[in-house]
Amino acid sequence: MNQQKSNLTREDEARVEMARTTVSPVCGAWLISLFITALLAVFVIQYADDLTQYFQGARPDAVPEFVRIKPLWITPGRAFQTSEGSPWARLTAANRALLGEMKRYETRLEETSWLARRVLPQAQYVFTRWFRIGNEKVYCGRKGELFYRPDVDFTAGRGFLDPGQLRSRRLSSPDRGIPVQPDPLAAIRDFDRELKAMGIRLIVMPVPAKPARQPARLYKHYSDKLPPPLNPSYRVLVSTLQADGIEVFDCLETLSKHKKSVYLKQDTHWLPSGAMLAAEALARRIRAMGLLPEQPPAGYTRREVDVANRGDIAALLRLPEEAGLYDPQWVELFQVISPDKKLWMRSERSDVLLLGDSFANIYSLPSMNWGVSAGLAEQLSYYLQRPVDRITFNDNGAYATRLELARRQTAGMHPLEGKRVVIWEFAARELAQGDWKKIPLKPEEARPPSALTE
Amino acid sequence: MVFSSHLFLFYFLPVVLAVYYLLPRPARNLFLTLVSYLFYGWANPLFLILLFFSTLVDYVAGLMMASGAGREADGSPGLLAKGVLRRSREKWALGISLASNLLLLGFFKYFNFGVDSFNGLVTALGLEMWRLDVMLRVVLPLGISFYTFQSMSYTIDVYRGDARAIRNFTDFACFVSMFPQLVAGPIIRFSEVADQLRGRIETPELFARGVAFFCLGLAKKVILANPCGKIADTLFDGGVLGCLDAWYGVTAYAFQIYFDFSAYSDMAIGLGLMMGFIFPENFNSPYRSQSITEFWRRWHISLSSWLRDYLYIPLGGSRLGTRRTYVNLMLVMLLGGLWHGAAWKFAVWGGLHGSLLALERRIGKQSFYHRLPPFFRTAFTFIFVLFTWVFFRAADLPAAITFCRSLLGLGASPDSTLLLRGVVFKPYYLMTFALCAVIVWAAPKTWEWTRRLTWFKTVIALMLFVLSVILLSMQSYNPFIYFIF
Repeated sequence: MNQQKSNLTREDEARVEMARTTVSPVCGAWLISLFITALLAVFVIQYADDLTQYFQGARPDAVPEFVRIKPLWITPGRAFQTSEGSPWARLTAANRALLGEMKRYETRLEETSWLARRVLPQAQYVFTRWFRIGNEKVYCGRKGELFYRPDVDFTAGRGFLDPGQLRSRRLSSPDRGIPVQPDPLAAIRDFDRELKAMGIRLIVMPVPAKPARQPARLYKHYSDKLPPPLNPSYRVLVSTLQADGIEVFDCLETLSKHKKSVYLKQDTHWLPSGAMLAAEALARRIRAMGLLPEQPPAGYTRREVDVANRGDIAALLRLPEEAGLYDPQWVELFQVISPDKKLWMRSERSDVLLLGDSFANIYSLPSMNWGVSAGLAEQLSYYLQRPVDRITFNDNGAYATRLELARRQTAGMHPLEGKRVVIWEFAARELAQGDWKKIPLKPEEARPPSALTE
Repeated sequence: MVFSSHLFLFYFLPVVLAVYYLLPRPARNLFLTLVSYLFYGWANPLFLILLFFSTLVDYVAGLMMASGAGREADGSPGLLAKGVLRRSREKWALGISLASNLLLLGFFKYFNFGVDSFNGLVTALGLEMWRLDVMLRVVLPLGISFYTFQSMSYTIDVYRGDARAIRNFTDFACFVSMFPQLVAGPIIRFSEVADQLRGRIETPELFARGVAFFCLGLAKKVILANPCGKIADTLFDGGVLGCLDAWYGVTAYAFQIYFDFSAYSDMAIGLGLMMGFIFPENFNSPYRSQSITEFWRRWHISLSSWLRDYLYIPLGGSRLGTRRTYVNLMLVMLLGGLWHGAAWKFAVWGGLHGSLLALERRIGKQSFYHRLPPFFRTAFTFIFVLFTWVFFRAADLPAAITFCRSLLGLGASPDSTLLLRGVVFKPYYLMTFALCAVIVWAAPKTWEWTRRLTWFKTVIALMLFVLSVILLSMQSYNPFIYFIF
């Protein structure tokens, strides 16, 4: 018997096995029909949902989403016609356009599906409430705290200056085949050199990720006696830059001195108190360095305002509206008021320029819903008692702000004219996840101090 | 397109099944081919050119070889006689087929690797002026390793006289491109499905079993493999780890890759059954093996048997003496490793398995701990497999060595990696991990479980399907691991 079995081919064995299938006709019919019904139910419910939305006026027409496939041939066709070069180049352009359309089509189907709108929030609620599981981007911490996954990956991950890590990042090409430049050292040195040539002093200000400041909120056994968790390359970067004569304002030290929490509970960013502590210490450092000429206080004042909002990490969980798991958090803002009694405004004529990201913007940009006129630039202006200029971008700030500087120069503006200090603030995780391409700048002249009043 | 995606499950699959059964039998292979091209082209339409080219070359090569083989009664090409010296036309046809497939595979899979390795070598030797400054970065077409092997098996089988050439191009294109197993196997040999391409019988029993296979496969992927993947990803990306964390991470990866890949195979087999195709088994509870030799009889069976039949045996197998046998084993496993990916870490992975296979061959295809009780044999085999998985999963060779040091408790992990414990030691992950262990070592395999479908099993299968769909809605893009090979 064994001999007979061993002579069977794998195909024969599979056939013999399948011939042994036992299922009653009724049971088999139920299994098949319920499976098909389950597949079709999603499709049918989806269309019923689309129709309901159409009759409620939420959709422009009653056409099911999945039949909207016209762009799948219109866009590539257009790309083929409009692109230049050899037929192969045009074909690849059309292919790229088609790939983009296919991705958009699939994403649209998923995001507009009733499964995503109705089932996902409920399932996410169960997992967050009972298992304390977040999702692809969110880790649930302790005491209602949420963490952004890229922050944790950065803090506990491989060193961002590790040669293997640099190599693997260089090989990833998210931007249409243009490789990422993963080494922040080279870009920071280059930017510093360009600014020094214009007589401007650069202060690099990486803002620590939340897990570095509040590790015990993620892992309860992380002892207070241990040093703050940092990416293995972080200290190397700071000491290398300092050895090169580049000024680094490491605000982790400042924030660590503060006993209370300095980060929002369900958000990636700091509390207003965190921004204020950092601004105060930074202003002290700038003064101590004697980078700016003395001038009488400009007369900036502050007033207290309370603001409530739901954190950006909580929003990523896409929980049901009524879940009540993460209520909006109330914070006390200190809005900065200009000498003319109006809310603070940036001044292009200032000798201090802040390049920043969402850490600078959170209490400044209305669209972030955490209040206005109380951001990093405002607080710095208050503590320096002088106007401050700023260029900020929420995403990929370290790269985007330099790009914007170069763009303004190309457009005939002079964003660096008259500047003495440039503060380059960015989220520390960008050191491991950002694009650090060098961006050439045109030299600009410094203006006399007398012109630097608002 | 991914089996565990919204588009596949709720649009592609129902439409394909409905149209397939509405069409007359003669049109079904053509339809399957067309939808398989759509399925494959969804990853990148330009890849279709390669798939079609590979198909066309092998089809023509097959016909060229068969032209001298006479005809069957029904007019179809006959078998080439075995043990007869082949004519130059047949040799040329096989040569063209092998060369074109291997060139495709070599260029698209190994070009970047070759350039990087060359540059690394000349840099290490201080000959930087010899560096190749190649701007071209070649994109790896999805599933190319699978379909080139599958396609080559056809021409080799025809050449050897093991299979008849096929005249119907549609049937052959259907064999090469069949969407259930196109991008991640199992690798199907032409001889295994030749009859089924010409005529197969779809029955409700097979369809029902296919549904059960598919539901279990989806559940394995979504409920088990993905959470284990999260543990493994978190810990493998974490630099130097503590000993416990490293063992937890590599075991989670072992579970992930097994449940991920066997899930794909189950779903492929299930989809095949729904359309009347019977594919052979690809996994047979590999972690229950009591030696590495046994492990390779149970893991990715379609690849190991392909390598055995088309590489190991033609190299001489074990017929040319002991030393040559070891060399052959080592060579096959090294190439098997590189088949998985163009990186030295895969070569190390293959080399380690090759060494262990050679060692076991020396003592009669048994593990060197074969005198121990079965539990320990299984445990030690699993631990060996875990060590080799480190090379498979780590980002690169230095990272793999760092991870191995962590496994041995030799690494000084920075405090920052403690944070990861707050992420991966949550009750949900621990429960999933434990469930994986129970299924790996104590539960019946899918083939056994689906053999006799009762009402109870029907309910379980459907409940797993619904649960998987719910979980799927929470997970973003989660391709199968073997997609990148």
